Amino acid sequence: MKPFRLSRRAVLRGAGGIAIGLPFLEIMSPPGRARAAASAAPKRYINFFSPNGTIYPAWLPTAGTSPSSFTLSRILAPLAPNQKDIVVLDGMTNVAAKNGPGDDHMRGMGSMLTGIELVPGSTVGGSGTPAGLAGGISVDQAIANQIGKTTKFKSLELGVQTGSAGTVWGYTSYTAASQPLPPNNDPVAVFTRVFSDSQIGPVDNSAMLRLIAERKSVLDAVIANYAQLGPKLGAFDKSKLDAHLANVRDLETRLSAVGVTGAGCMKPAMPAGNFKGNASFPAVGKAQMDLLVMAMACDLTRVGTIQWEMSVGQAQFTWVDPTINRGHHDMSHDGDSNADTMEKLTKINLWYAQQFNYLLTALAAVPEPTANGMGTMLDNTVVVWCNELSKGNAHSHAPQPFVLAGGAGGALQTGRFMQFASSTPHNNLLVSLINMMGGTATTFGNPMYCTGPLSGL
Amino acid sequence: MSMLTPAQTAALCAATIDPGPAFVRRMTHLEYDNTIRDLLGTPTMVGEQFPPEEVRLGFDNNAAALSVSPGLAEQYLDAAETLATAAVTTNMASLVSCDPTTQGVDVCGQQFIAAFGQRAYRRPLSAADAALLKTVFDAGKATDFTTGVRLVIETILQSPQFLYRVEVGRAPVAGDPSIAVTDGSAPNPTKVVRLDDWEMASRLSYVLWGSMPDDQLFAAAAAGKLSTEVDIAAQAQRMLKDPKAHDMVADFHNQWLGLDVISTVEKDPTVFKTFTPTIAGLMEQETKMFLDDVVWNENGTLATIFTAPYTFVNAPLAQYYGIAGVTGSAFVKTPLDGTPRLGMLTQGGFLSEQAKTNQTSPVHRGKFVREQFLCQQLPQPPPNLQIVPPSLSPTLTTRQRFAQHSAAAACAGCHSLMDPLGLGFETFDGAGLYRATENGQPIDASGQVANADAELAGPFNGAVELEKKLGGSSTVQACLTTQWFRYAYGRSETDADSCSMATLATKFAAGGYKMQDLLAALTQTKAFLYRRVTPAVGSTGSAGGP
Repeated sequence: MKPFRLSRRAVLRGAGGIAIGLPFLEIMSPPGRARAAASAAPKRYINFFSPNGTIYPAWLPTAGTSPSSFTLSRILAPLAPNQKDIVVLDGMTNVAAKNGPGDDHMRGMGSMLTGIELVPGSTVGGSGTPAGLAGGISVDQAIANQIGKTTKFKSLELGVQTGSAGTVWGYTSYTAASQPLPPNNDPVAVFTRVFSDSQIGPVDNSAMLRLIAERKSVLDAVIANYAQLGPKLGAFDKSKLDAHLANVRDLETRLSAVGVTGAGCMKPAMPAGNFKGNASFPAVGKAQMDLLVMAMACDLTRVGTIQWEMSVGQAQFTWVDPTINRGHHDMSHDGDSNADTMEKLTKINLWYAQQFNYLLTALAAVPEPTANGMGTMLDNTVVVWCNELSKGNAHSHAPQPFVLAGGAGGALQTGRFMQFASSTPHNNLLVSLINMMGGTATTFGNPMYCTGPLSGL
Repeated sequence: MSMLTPAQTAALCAATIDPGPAFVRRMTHLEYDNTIRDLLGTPTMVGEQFPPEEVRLGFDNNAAALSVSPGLAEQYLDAAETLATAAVTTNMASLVSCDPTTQGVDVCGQQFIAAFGQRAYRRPLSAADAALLKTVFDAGKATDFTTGVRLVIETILQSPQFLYRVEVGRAPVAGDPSIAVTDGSAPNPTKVVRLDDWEMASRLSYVLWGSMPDDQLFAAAAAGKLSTEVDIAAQAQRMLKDPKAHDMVADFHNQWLGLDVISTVEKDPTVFKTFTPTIAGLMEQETKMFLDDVVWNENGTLATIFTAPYTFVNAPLAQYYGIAGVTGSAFVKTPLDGTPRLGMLTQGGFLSEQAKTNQTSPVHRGKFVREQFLCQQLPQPPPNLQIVPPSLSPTLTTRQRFAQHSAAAACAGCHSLMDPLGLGFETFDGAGLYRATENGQPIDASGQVANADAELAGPFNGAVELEKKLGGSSTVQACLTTQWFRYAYGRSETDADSCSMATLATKFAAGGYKMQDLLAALTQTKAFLYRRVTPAVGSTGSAGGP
């Protein structure tokens, strides 16, 4: 496949009006922002969320004589082709989820990647006091602050029928307390945003240069307008507008950001198919994973999220088993003695393992230089499969079923099953993730629940 | 809450003039689309594609919640470019009233900035506002005049003066009241001031239209005619006759009653053989048209929602329901005489949305009534509680299968508030069709309303009887008032709002609970007419404000 460059649709607007549905341009430019062949490609980070807990006994691998000689469980069996690239963690406790406002789903969801309690609010759950959203930044955004500074998109949050509830149940990722990043559930809209509006390779045409200059003039004035307004505002209002302003400034710094052509950066097709209705769930998921992998292969972003459903999601997994006729969350409340439901929930989580494996395989299909010579994008990436609960019917937050995958550019030794003392705070894992991605964190989330990096990881 | 008499309301409001807290309000995505339509003259649905808002207290327009994520900032940029390009391409003549070739590029550019800027910022530009926009125009005019205009529009559409409603209020004077604020949202004591006329124009237009002011409101603001309750009430009456008010009320109904979800309802085709996605879409249209008609054509009361003896159907939906005599694809207002239906809660939309894919759900139906109409929030099921409806049975009725909810103590606490309400709808199946029997047994549609006011509490038989009770219930009247307060003012009610709430309740009651009276009353409360002076950050003034 030829390297390519995508055209900013506005370039083609010219004076003639809005261009619609522009084709990709196969571009003749030389590879841009060329990396020395010897240097490793950048590190990437991905959240992969599935909800409502797992069936832990069917999830937990069987330990072998060493951490690297383990036998995959029934649910994780689909990961066999990539077993050497994963790390399965047993013993993680979400301590923050045991504290603060909200019910178990809400607390689990909001603290899963933030490691801190929810803020109080108006959303009433099944127990606890009413809660708002998460109480701090999520680990992917902390990582994006490190590795997402120069790319066209700081991060991409892609959803698969996550609902539009606008509550803590619906968000994986946060830039700060109460500042969620809503996932985009529409693959066509994601495609349009990421690929029809981006430049891959160097800016070498005057139309593009003029567009960047225009945008700079406009955003400079927008920023100045915020400055004019600031003195008139009270503290609460000012903090809101300051957050908005920070995002405008961030946009401005990325105006000249372009993607990088490379062996794995290929022209994706506009996602096609039916993306509406319960039955389209698998198709939406595949399209979103494909788009995220390609956005990363073209270095348009280095941080992403794939969020399946929402916490308390009610997808009906008819494609897994045609006799399933109830929502996922409703089923997750059934008791352990209900063998039929336990079997179906096992199959649902096994299906999610298949999707996780698909993502890993797609990342591994992109050849890339690594710290140790030629490898794949998976070697430079960490993917974290997370769930807001451990056991659905108990609404428990320990042990949390975490699976990591990818070599983190050499910072993560994979192919291991690691058993930690129960009650090891998962905040420690979040610290380690930041450090694998080049950070120097000593704590993350609520420091009361963190004792430093996860030892041995 | 118990209803105050008009005299009691007057006494309460004489004692306090506290308008409660007021936050800067960012446009919702719907308000963005509406405002673009009115500002640029081009209908758009671009805002509809923006990421969903956080929902608080059931509405997506809570001022304290509305934030701008990185993705939204990017979409504002993208939308500004697309919309500005379209505007200068197709609509230049209506945007720019001068001729740059004869009058000069700079003169014409400044005219455009002053005129368009005033409409977009919804107030006259300050010298600093105009100067800033001029720098952008100058950057663009190097290419050509049109580019200068386009860049000004792109700038405005991303600026806080456009995207937010920022209010300062009139400068405080000696006679302004000073109130004690004890909730920490403002200094104590704090001065209370009226809004200036431009700010009032925007309050009126966004509360009643979900959009920017029209020329008449702007003219009234310029003439200083938006300062008194009488002037404001006159504008409100004018504005309620505009179709834009219908759109605003429709959005309230959509959010309050979850109407937009009806068209996505899916059913098990082996159980509900005639239900199709098309029928779901028609059901959504039915309820939306019905509510619009109740408010505007009938000048209906709250009770009309529940007891109107008609609905809106077209031929396919009428055939689905088994209503005879309707032809064509257009919806027609159709009497319900001789049918078992009456009011909104016997329409397919509510009945099928609040049901399972293969059966009814007394739980969901009861929960919906209690949460949306009685404003009583019910908790989610606690852990370890099986959320499994009793198994389908070829012999038992739903009521018989659900008996265990009331029998099991762990369930009964909450389900006694839901199930006896929801079981009253059992003569309608999970897809909204009437049924006299279930599994060969006659339906028992008796129900019971626990924990409610005197008009509502007690036994009833069937959905129609329940609706008649709901229509006369003081709890439902107070609940609708609260819902409108939250939606219109973009915040939750506080202790400081007792006078404003009482004003709404009194004016709503005066004409027998007409919905239009409640809408007009929204412009007559202390919360609407006044604001607390907010000392700006860094101001060195006294606690009383700048």
